[in-house]
Amino acid sequence: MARDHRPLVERGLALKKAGNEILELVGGRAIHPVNVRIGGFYRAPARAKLIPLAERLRWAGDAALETVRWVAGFDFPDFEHDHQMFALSLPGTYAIEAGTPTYRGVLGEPVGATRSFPVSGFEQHVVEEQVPHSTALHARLAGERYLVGPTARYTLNSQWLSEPARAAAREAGLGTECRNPFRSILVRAVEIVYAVDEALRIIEAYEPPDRPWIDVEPHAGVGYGATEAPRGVLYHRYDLDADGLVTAARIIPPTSQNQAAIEDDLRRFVMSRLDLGDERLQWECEQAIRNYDPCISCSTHFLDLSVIRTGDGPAERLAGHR
Amino acid sequence: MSIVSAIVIGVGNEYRHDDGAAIEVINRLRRRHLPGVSLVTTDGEPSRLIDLWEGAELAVVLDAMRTQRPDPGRIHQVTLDEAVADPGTSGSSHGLGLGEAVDLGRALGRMPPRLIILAIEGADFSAGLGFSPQVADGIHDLESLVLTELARV
Repeated sequence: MARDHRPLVERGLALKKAGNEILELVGGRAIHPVNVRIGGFYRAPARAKLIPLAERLRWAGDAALETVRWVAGFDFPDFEHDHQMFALSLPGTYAIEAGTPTYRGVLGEPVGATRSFPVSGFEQHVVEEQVPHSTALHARLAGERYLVGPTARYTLNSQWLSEPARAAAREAGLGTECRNPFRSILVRAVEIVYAVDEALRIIEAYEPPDRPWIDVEPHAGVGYGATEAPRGVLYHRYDLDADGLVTAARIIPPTSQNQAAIEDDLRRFVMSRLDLGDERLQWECEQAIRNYDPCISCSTHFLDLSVIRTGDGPAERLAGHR
Repeated sequence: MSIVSAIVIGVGNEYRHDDGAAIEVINRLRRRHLPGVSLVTTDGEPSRLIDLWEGAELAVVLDAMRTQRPDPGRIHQVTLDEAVADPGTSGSSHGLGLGEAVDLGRALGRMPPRLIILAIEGADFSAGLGFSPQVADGIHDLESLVLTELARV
């Protein structure tokens, strides 16, 4: 792609770099940030350091809008799922770093019919379980499969996107909900527009604090937290003793939460494409997995697809990833 | 992009035992205060590698590698033309690897005139600090090799 579409790849890399620069400034470095401490941050950036960053972000905003228009022109397979959709919600903002766990039921339930629970109740509602056919954990929400990530966020919270991001979504043909997982890349592009807007809004309102952390006295207790990672809801729980030592920890990543939905998508997707050749089918199945979780598919050839064709009626096909 | 004469890039995760070998070499090189040499550590993500090495006359990339039959501490030197993409063996938990970075850098015309990759075979990539004994010895050799390459600039 870099050879055939160099300007597009350059634009994507420059957008990514703009994001990295935010993290380097706030987190101390782009990966495994070191500036975060208990109670806040070791150092807060000076306003002067944000000026060149804001300049770059204004460019990034335009680049993100162009990216939405480009992605909107992709050829998306006609496919809809009926999973529950789960994301954090925080009225007034498109929830990322905080919010109330909220979900929409299966397809057919009225738009706006949502249920929610406090973060401290996460493990009562979301249950991870072993399944006989896989080494991956599967999570269930209220006993049913569900999905997290861009399309769930968009469906539950699109009204809280910034105006430029909402306009970009409308122009790209996104409605009030998105149940086609192949269009998640389009939602991701809209979310980049929002992320840039939000970064600029924060920079404009920013006043460096006198001290970028608060004192925290250790005491026994349990801490719960949930954020929207790019792939979806990420939950952490830590049990602390009186000295502040962690005695138990629980992390529920998006991976296990989407697993059942990915498998269901794959099964239904394959069933509707039994006439395709193996190579084409593998390629489309890889796309179906990438819709949810680029971390599973960061390698180019991650899917071993075995097809057992029988002579009578639909073929039985088995797909697995390594 | 400012022109520096040389950059040494350490790839790895210092919290995964032998995977942090290159980071340790960078820490040692920093104590030598080498003039005109930029010393950085990164996770090996291709776009960051390209940003780092673009504009340098010489880029030396240090990394730890896994092999099917490990000979811990053994050092491999790969020249620019030999680096090929092999996505199946990417050791990073954050995405693609060095081979992809070279491919992408070439496609975008963002390669340094000279790129040397020095990779040390590791044995233990589990979470934790410290190195396998053979890797700890190899780190010393790796530092010497970097110094030899830098002396040629």
